[in-house]
Amino acid sequence: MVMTKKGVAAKRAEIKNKTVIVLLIVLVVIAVVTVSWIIISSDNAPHTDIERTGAELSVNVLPQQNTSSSGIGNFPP
Amino acid sequence: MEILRITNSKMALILAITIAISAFGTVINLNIMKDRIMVSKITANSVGTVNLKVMGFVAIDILNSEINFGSGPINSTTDLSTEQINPGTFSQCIEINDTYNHTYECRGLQVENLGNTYINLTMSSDQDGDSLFLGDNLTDEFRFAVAPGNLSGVPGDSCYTNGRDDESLFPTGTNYINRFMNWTVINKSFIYTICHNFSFWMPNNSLVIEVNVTVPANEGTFSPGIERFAYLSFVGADIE
Repeated sequence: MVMTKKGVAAKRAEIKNKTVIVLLIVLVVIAVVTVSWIIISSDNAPHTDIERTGAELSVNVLPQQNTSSSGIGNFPP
Repeated sequence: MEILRITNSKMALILAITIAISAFGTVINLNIMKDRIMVSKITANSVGTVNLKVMGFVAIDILNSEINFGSGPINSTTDLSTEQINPGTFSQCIEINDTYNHTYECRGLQVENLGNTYINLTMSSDQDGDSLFLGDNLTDEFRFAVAPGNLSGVPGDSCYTNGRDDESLFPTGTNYINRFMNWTVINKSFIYTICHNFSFWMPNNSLVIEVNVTVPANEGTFSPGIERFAYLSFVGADIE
C-alpha cells in the first residue's frame, strides 16, 4: 500500500504525539515520586524538642558601718 | 482519518497543568493518610496491626528558681554558698544541724526532667564574677557545682553517659556525703553542658546546681545597698 505524502506526514505527527505522551507520563511519575519523597523524608526527619527555663540569683552588699569611736569626753550610757 | 495536531506550546501547557494537578493530589493524599490510624488486615487471619509512634517530649522544671543570699555589710572578702551557713546577716542556707533553714530561699537549684525522654541539659549565665560584682576583680568569684540528687542532699543516679560523645556530668565529683563541692568558675560567654544524658525516670530525674560567690572586700564601696543579680538559663534538648 502506497501512502500519500499527506498520509506520511500524519503518521509522523501521530508518532510524535505518542512520544510526547510517554514523556508526559514519565515526567508525572517522576514528579509524584519526588513530592512523595520530600513529604515522607520531612516527616521522618529527626526533630529536636527544646525547653528553656531559668533562675535568678541576688545578693545585696551593704556599706560597712564604722562602729569604732575615739575622743575624750562623756559617752551616753 | 484526521490526525489531531497539538502545537508544542499547547503540549507544554498541558504538561505543566498535569504535573501540577498530580503533585497537588499527592500532597493532599499524603496529608490525609498521615492523620489517619492505619490498620492493616491480613486475609484469612483477621489479625490487625496498629502502628503507633509515641513521640518524646521535653519538659524541665526548677523547684526553686530563686537564690537570695540576702544582704549584709562586709569588711573582708566574703564567701557565700547555697550549701553552707553564710556569715553575718546573709541568709544562712543550712542550719547548724545540716538541715535547711529556709524552704525556698538561698538553696541550690533543683532541676527536674519531667518529660518522657533523656535530655541534654545546658546552663549559661548572663553574669560572671567580674560583672556581678563591681569591686576588686582579682578576688571576686562566681562558681557552680552539680550534684545528681535532690535538694535534701539525697544522692541520685540521674545523669548517664551519652553514647555519642561518651560524656555525662559536668563538673563531676560533687558529693553531699563527703561534702566535696567541685566548684567551677562561671564564664558568662560560655554554655556549660552540665548533663549529656539526663534521665527522666523518677526518682532519679533531678540534679542540684549549687552556687558559690566570693564578694570582694570593697564591694560595699562600689555598690552600696544596690542588689546584684545574675540570671541562670537552662536548656533541655531531646537527645534521641
